[in-house]
Amino acid sequence: MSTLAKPNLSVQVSGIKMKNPVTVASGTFGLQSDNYFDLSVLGAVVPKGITLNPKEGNKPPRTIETPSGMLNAIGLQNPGIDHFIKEVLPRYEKFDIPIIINISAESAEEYALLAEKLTATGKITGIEINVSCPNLKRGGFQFGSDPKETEKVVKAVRKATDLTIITKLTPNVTDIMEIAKAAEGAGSDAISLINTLLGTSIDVKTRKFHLANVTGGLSGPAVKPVAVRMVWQCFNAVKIPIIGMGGISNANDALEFILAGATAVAVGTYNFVNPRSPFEIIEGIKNYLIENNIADINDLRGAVETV
Amino acid sequence: MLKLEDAQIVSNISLTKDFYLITFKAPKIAVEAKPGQFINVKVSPGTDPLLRRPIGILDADPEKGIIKALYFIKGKGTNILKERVEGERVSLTGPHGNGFTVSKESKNILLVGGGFGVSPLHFFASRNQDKNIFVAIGGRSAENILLEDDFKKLGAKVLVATDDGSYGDKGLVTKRVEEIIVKNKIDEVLTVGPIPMMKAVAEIAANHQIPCQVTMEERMACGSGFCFACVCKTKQGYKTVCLNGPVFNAEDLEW
Repeated sequence: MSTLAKPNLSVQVSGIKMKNPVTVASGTFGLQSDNYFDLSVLGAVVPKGITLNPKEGNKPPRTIETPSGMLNAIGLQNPGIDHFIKEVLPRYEKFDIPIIINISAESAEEYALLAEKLTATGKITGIEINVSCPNLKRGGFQFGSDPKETEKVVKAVRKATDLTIITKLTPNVTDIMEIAKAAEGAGSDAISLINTLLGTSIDVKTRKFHLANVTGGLSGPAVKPVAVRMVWQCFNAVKIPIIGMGGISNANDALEFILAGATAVAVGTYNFVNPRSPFEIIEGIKNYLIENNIADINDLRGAVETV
Repeated sequence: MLKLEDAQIVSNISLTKDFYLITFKAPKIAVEAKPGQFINVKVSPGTDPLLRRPIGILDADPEKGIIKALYFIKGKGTNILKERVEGERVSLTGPHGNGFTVSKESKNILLVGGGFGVSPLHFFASRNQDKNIFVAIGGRSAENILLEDDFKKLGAKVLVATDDGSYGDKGLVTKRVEEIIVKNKIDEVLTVGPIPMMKAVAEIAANHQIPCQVTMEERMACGSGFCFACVCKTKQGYKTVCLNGPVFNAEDLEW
């Protein structure tokens, strides 16, 4: 038991060294989470995504609950990068964990400018390129659903930074492997998936859409099987590390993603349900390794077998 | 400080067909709770329904570690909650939101509540017994009038109006607000209830140059200010109901 009492949980997502494989999905987590557990236990932190200029976001209602999930159409409400760097970023530094910043933009040049500004702070470990937010009327959605557009954005960001680049893929495509390969070919150091699945919901009483934006992104436990399938497909299609996400609510879910090929995992919507879940998932993974006599989390990556 | 607690249900009783009163043993939240704040309740374990349900706090007793909340049976979540019984545990987070803030100098406070909007107002009245509290309660009919006696027990002067005249004055409660403000030299107004009611109250308060705080409601996901789902429009753009609110100065809102 002496060695296995302390199994290795640390993983490497390209240049990002994480002391355990658990991080959070952008937009589902904030500094207020520190009320529920010590954020410095996380493998890395991903604050809410940012854009170059402040964004007001979509008209409410912006969310509706669905069976084991929810739809959201926030519209990337955020104060813009300059405010973020000055006011928000310093408050994440004290946790002494890798900081990954999720960026959205409407052109390759704008993505590059965001990457430059973030790199110049010297406080950031990774940049997650959101090419997949389904709520934007322009920009994001088109980039992530077309391999050439994805390539253009990743190349522009690659030129602008030496930081670890993670391309966050949309599941709303015919062949996610094609997009993953395009990101890899353009110089992305890693990929993260999945972003939300495009959906909608209708109130039959009022005969109106539930969301003011009409469509929104589906997330939560309902999307997990789709996400695990896509992680497994991408694991077999590219060599770069994968951060798996989509409906993770407990350690078993996280382990499913790792077995499918994810190097790290992110907790998203479940932060709303159990705000301590990232902490509990780290503990759960540790216990699983001990109980199953596995010395290193890295031995589980992609280790799924056919029945 | 937000807390997460596996709270034991002390009691869960129906006040009328549509309104329930639930009492929790939740000592950590009870110590922190202030009037106008809410708890976020996971009505059942499991993932359907997935999200917590925000419910305004009716009362908090820090010494006994008790939290009380009044809820309206609306959909799947509250229908599950009403079936939960004494002794069972329910996961709570809170207290969420900003709560009411009144000036120390304000002596005469008017509370205008519609339906179960009286709940946070009652919490305010119980924590501000040094002030002269005036209460106007409105509802569709007699069975929607809640907490009248509880306000009276606190020494508040209470006026009731129902749309159908089945109890108290007939018509909208807002008809009497102006008269109460003038007659009692009201310094501040707090209102919780349907938007049209709160708008009417805010307009009367503005006409008399009295500060008015309103309590907003919007479909919510995280309850803690991460996700920006539950926003309402203010003069400074969209603000979250869960973190920046639920209490807003009426003059800051664009509604």
